Amino acid sequence: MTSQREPEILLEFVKARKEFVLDDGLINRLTGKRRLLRALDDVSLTVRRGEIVGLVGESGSGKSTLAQAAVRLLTVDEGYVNYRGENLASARGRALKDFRRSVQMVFQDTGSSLNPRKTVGRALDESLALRGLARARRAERSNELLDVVGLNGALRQRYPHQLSGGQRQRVAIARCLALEPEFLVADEPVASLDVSLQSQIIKLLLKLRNELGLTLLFISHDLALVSHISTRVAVMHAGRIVEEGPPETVLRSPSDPYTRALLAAIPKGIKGRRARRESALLAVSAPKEAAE
Amino acid sequence: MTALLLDVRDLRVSFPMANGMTEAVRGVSFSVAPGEAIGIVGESGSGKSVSALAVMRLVAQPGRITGGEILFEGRDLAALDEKAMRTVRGRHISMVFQDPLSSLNPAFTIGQQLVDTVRAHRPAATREAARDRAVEVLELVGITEAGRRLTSYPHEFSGGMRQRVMIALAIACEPKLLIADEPTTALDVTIQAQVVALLWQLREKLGLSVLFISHNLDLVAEICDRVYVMHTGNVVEHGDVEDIFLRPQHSYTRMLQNCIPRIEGVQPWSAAARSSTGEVAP
Amino acid sequence: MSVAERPLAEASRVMAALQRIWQGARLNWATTTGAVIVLVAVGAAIFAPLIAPYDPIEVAIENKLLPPSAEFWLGTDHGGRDILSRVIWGARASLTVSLLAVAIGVTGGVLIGLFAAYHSGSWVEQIVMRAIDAIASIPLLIWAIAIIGIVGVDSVDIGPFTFTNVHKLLILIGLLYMPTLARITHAVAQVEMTSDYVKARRVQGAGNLAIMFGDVLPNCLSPLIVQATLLVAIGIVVEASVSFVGLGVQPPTPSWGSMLADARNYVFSGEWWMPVFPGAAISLTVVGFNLLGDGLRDVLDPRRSTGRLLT
Repeated sequence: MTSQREPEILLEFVKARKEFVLDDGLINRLTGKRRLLRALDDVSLTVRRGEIVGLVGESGSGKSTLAQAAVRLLTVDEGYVNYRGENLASARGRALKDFRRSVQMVFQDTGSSLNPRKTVGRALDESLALRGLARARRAERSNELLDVVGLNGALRQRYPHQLSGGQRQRVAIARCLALEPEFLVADEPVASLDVSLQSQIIKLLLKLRNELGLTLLFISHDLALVSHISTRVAVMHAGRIVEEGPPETVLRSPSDPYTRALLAAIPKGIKGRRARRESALLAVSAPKEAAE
Repeated sequence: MTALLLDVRDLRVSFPMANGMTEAVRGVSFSVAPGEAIGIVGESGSGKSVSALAVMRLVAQPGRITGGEILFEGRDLAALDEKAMRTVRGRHISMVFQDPLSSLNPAFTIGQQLVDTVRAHRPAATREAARDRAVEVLELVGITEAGRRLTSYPHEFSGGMRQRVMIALAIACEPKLLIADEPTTALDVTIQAQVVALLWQLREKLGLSVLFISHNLDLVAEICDRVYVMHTGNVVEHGDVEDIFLRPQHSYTRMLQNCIPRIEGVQPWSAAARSSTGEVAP
Repeated sequence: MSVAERPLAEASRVMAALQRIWQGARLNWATTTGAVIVLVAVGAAIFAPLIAPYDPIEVAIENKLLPPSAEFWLGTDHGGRDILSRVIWGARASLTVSLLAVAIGVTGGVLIGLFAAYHSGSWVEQIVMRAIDAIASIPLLIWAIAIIGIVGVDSVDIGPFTFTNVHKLLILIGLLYMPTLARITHAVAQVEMTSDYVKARRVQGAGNLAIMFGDVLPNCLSPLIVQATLLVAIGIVVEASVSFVGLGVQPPTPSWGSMLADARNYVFSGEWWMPVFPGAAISLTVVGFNLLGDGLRDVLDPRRSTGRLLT
C-alpha cells in the first residue's frame, strides 16, 4: 500500500451485465423461442487516470460490447457503468454533455468510421463546433490537430477514400482530440492496418497519452501488442474478465486456463517451427479436436 | 534434383485503371517442390494474393496475366484455355480463401457442396461413392460426426469449422498443391492455431504441397520451409525460412520483423529484437 | 484562412465540383446526352415565350393540317396551330407536373423514411411502413384519373390558394411517389445508422437531428437521385396519359398528352406529324432523364474517383 493517494478512478464497471436478444420476432416472443446472448456477464473493471488498460479478447468475448458501454453507445441491463462517479445510464443534460466531451472512441474500421461524404476538414469542423469553438477559429485549429497527429493540413480537402488506411486512422484520432478528451477508448485501432502502420499508430497513441495526459482503454485481440503498451492487462472471455494484472504477470504466470490457451496459440515463428518439428519426431499424439 | 511441382517465372499481372494499365505483379518468380510448404509474405498491395490467384487463373476481370510462365508439372497454366484450366482447378491445384463465410455457398448444405465437387472431377463416381468420400474428407479435417454434419448449412458452423470445411472441399479430389490465401486472418488466434496444426497434419498425411500466403511473418515461419517476401509487386527477398527469419537481408524484411509485437517471454532471434512501440511512462 | 479568402475558397470549391461534373461528362457520353436532352427540355419550358415561333393557342383555320415546311417546321394541327410552338409550350405542362410531383414525393418520402429509420425496431416504424405499403398499393394512373374524374377539372379554391387542375394532378402524383422514396430512404438509412461514423458522431455528442440530416441523409442520396429521375420520367408519361383522356391539362393549353389525344383522329389519315412529334418529345425527354439520373448518381458519389474502371 503506497503512501500516495491512488489516482482518481475514471471509468468503472461494477458487475455489469448486458444481454442481447437473438431470433427476435413476434412469434418467437410468444412461443418463448428467443435466445439470449450474454455479452457482459458480471463484468467489473476499473480504469484510473493515467493508466493504459489493455483489454484482450477474441471475437465473441464481449469486448466490443464493453467498449460501447464504456462510451455509452449502449447501457447495461444490470450493474453500473460509472465515469468519475456518475452513473452513465442516468446521466442527463450537463453531466451527459461533459461525459461526451471527456470520453472519445477510436474505432477499428478506418473505412467506415469516417463519413465517406464528408471531407476531412468538414468532419473536423463539425467536431470543433461540438466543442464550442467559434467558426472563425476552426480552420486554424483543425490544422493544428492534423499537425499533432502527423498529417499535412492540405489533407483537409480530401475525402476519406482518398486517404490511406493509416491516414484515415490518424484523422479519426484527430477528430477525437478536437473534443479535448481526457479518456480514450481504442477498440482494435490497428487491427485493419498493415503491420508497418500498426507501430506508427501505436506510437502516436502513446505520444498523445504522454503529452496530453490521456488515459487509455486499449482493446485488442492481440495479446502481444497489448502486453507491450499497457500498464495493466485484462483478459476477457465469454463475457467475463478471466484474468487481470500487470503485463509481466499475465504473460509469465497466467492463472486462468483461457489465458494459457491464448498464449499457447500465438504463432512463435522459428521457435514454434522447431517445437512442431520436435513434437512430430517424437510422434506425440495428434492435436486436440476442435472443442466448438 | 526432383522436378518442381510449381514453377512460376517472371509473372506479370496488370489491371486497367482510369489512367492506363497498372502492374500489380511485376515479374515475380517462385517455386514449390513436391511436399514443400512455401510461404509468401507481404502487406496489403504487395501483390501476393494476385499472384496466387494468377496461378489458379482466377484473376478478376478485367485484370490479366501480361507476362511470364506458370509451369505446373511442366505444363504452362498461363497458356491453357478455360476448359483445360477447369480440369486443373480443384483436382490438381486447390485453393482456400480468407473468408469461409463467403467462400461457401450459403444456400446449399456442405454435403451437397462436397458431393458436387467430387463429382465435378470424377463424373463416373456414384452418389454413394461421392458421399463416402465427403464423409472421409470431413473426418480428415477433424469434424466429428461427419455423416450427420453433411446435412448442415454453412451458417450453422463457427468460423473455424467453416474453414475446416473449406479445406475439406479443397482436398476432396486429392490435389497435389494447396494454395491457402490468408486462411486464418479472419479467425481468432486459438482457432488459427488449430487450423495451422491441421494444415501441417495434412501435409504429413497426404504429402500435400502448400503455398501459404499471409501478412504474418511469425505464422509463416511456423509452418513453411521456404519464404518469399513481396512488396509492391516484387519479390524483395526469398530463401529458407530460418535465413529469412533470423538473418533478413532486405530492409523491408527487417522492417516487417521489427514491427511485429512479440510476447516478451519469447525472444525473437534477430538483432533488432524489441518492437518499436516506444517507452511506456510509469 | 482570412475573411477575404473565404469567398475565394467557396468559389474554388464550386469550380472543383463543376470540373468534376465536366470530367464525368467527358468520360460518359450517355450522361452527356441525357444532360443535353434535359437541358433542352427545361430550356424549352422556361423560355417558351421567347423561342416559340408562333402563338400556340390562337386558332388559324386557314393553316390547318399543313405538313412540315419551311414556314411551319413541324407542321400544323387541326386548328392551324404550329406544332413546334405547341411542343415547346407543352414542355411547361409536362415538366411542371413531373418535376414538382417529384419534389413533393422526395420531401415527403425522405422525411417519412428518415422518421421510420430513426424509430427502427419499434412499433412506430412498423405502423409507418405498413401505411406506406398501403399507399404503394394504389395504382398511380388509375388514382389520378379517378380522383380528378370525381373532383372535376375545375380549379379549386382552398383559403387564399387556387389549385388549378395541374396543381391537383401534381399533388396526387407526388403523394403516390412518397412510398417508393420513403422505402429507399428507410432501407438505406437503417443500414447507415449502424455504421461506425454514426456511432462516432454519437460519441462526440452530436444531436439526433444533426446525425439524421447531416450524416445519414447524404449517404442515402445516391439511390434517391436515380429513383427521382426515374419518377420524373414516369411523371411525364402520367401527365401525358391523364391529359390524353382529358382530365389533365385542359384545352387550349398545349400539353404533349393532349396533343396526342387530338392526333387520335388523324393517325391513319396521313397527318403523321400530329402524333409523331409530341410522342417523340415524350420519349426523348423520358430517355434523357433516365440517362441523366444514372450519370448523376455516379458523378455525385465521392468514391467514384478511386479504382473505378473505364466503362
